[in-house]
Amino acid sequence: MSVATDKILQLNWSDSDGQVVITPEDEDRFSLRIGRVIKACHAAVEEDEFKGQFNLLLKTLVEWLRERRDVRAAYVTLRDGEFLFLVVRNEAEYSAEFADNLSELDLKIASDHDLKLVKLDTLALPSVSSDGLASFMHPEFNLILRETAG
Amino acid sequence: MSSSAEQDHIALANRNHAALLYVMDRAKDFPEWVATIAFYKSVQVIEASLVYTDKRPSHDHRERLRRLKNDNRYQETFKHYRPLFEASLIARYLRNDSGGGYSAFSDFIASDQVVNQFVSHRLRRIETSLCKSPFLSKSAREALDRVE
Repeated sequence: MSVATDKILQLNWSDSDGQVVITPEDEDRFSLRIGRVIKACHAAVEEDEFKGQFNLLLKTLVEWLRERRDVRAAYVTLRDGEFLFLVVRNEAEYSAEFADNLSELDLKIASDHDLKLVKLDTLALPSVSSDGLASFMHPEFNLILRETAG
Repeated sequence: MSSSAEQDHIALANRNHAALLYVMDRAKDFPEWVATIAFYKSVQVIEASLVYTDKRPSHDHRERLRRLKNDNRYQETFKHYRPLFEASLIARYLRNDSGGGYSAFSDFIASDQVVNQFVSHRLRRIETSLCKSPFLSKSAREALDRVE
């Protein structure tokens, strides 16, 4: 059982002269889904401030991704009411170096005062099919970060 | 939270340690259980430390992750706990399938490496980071069965 493709919203990112540009494939649906997440998990926070921090979070994740050639796919999903940066590696085999890099990213985000409202955990999976991925994805909220030509 | 809560977690950690030694001898047959029991031992050692330093336990894995990464004193612990947690999730929940490169836990880590990576490296580093003041009481440090 894989996650239905209409439950995964695509965010295109490109690197244009060192500047990361992130564009939702469908801006309206992106705003609606973020609005739902804020209502469900972060009712008490200011919506605009949350959205600003979420966009900064996406940039931070893309900055990390653009240095890497060992990631097959990257998602932002939900787990236990918080965001999860879910990375699928190119290889099936465990890499201690990759695990350490992801821990460092996790700590960097957790200690960033400008990202205080957005709680994020990180998880790397070995190369696996979409069926295998399904149990790690949220049934309703999944973003895929996909690189496009700058 | 009483010091007996700390000792209770150490006792549970030691039960996990005994189970870990048992499956480590059979790592070829049960690599996923080596990773999983190593993770659960780390949970108990960390909880012993959290009840000792902060006087309260964590309610769930999410809260524990949050407390470790948001407290500078625990960042070294977090660096090794996160990959161990990740390995245990893969061991327990990643379905075998034929479409990706992963079809079994032994594809993720060879049985001769699972002890090196998740016990001798990750779990040991967690224990080393916590087996000093102010993370555990002297009696807890002495009572804990540690990875050699």
